[in-house]
Amino acid sequence: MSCPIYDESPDLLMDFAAGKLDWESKQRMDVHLSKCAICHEALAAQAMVWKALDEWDAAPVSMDFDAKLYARIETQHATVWGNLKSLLLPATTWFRWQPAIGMAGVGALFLAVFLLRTPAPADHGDGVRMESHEIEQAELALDDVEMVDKLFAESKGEAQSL
Amino acid sequence: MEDQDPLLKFPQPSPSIRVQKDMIAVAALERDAELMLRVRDGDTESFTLLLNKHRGPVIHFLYRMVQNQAVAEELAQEVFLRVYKSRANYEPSAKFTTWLFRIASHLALNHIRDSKNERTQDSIDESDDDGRTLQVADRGMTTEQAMVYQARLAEIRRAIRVLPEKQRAAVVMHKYQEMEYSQIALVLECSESAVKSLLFRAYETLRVRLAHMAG
Repeated sequence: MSCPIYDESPDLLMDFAAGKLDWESKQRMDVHLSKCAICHEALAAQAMVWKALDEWDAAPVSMDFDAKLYARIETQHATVWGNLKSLLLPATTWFRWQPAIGMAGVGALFLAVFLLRTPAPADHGDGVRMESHEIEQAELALDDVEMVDKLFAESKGEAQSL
Repeated sequence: MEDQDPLLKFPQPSPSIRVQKDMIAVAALERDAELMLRVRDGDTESFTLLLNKHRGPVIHFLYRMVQNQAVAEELAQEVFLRVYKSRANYEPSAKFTTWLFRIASHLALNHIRDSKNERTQDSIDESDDDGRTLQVADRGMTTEQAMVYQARLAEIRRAIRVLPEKQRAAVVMHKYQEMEYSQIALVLECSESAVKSLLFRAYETLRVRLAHMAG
């Protein structure tokens, strides 16, 4: 003998015992229970378990529960702040060097101004190179003039001989 | 079979009550997400409101999981501390309670696994009588009734404790937190059918272990 509800949907019995079935399902279950010995027996056993479990009350909560919790939250805040402080400690140490850093900055500024105001030393090498380049050009120009003069004289001599 | 066994007469809500309950649940879920978003924006009052609402369910869940009130409260503190710490990254992508119970069940399961290596189950029995004394006093029992009650309670606790961890978590969420299968599935990070299977096996085991308590 078997029952499809007991075999496949035992949660219906649990819900019935827990009073969780909706009105319609409850009515259908009532009809089924009046005919099915398996479910009837299972429900009686479930009811016994349910009744036994009802006997076990929970103990009242301690009066100082909230106070302890808020104290722990406070401690947590303090710990978080402490951790944050330890993380920031290197930065605060750095800030202690601020006057020295400021003085070093002012010194660097003076040095920069001094360097900018000092005239740059003359570069003789480039000037020499420039002058020699100009002489070469002038010499080449004179050579060209001499060559033109020569050609002119030669052409003049040839014309006279003719 | 026509006349139902009195044991089977469970309180079933009427349709209108059920709809009302669902609407209240939806509104509560939206409210939780809204409060958490306010916590994210630095509103500590909203955190207090969330704590007031969920403190009890989270501690009770953890208590039934680890079966020690001091440990349960310690773990619950860790749960709410984690919620507070992760407020900056909170996005209302899932139900707030799903997120909350996921943290709680992770912590509980880790604690159970760790403590398995550290002490035997017998030593847990000796050390966790917290809560039981209070329950007896609240029920106004005679000494004899109290002794019978204590014995029954010890059996129920033991029956739940020896369940595999995930089955235990599923039963506690289903029975005591009244969570839906879908939400339990999200908390335990498994499928809905896996949750149904976990619950079915767990309740079957409990039926066998607690059968002698019937009647």
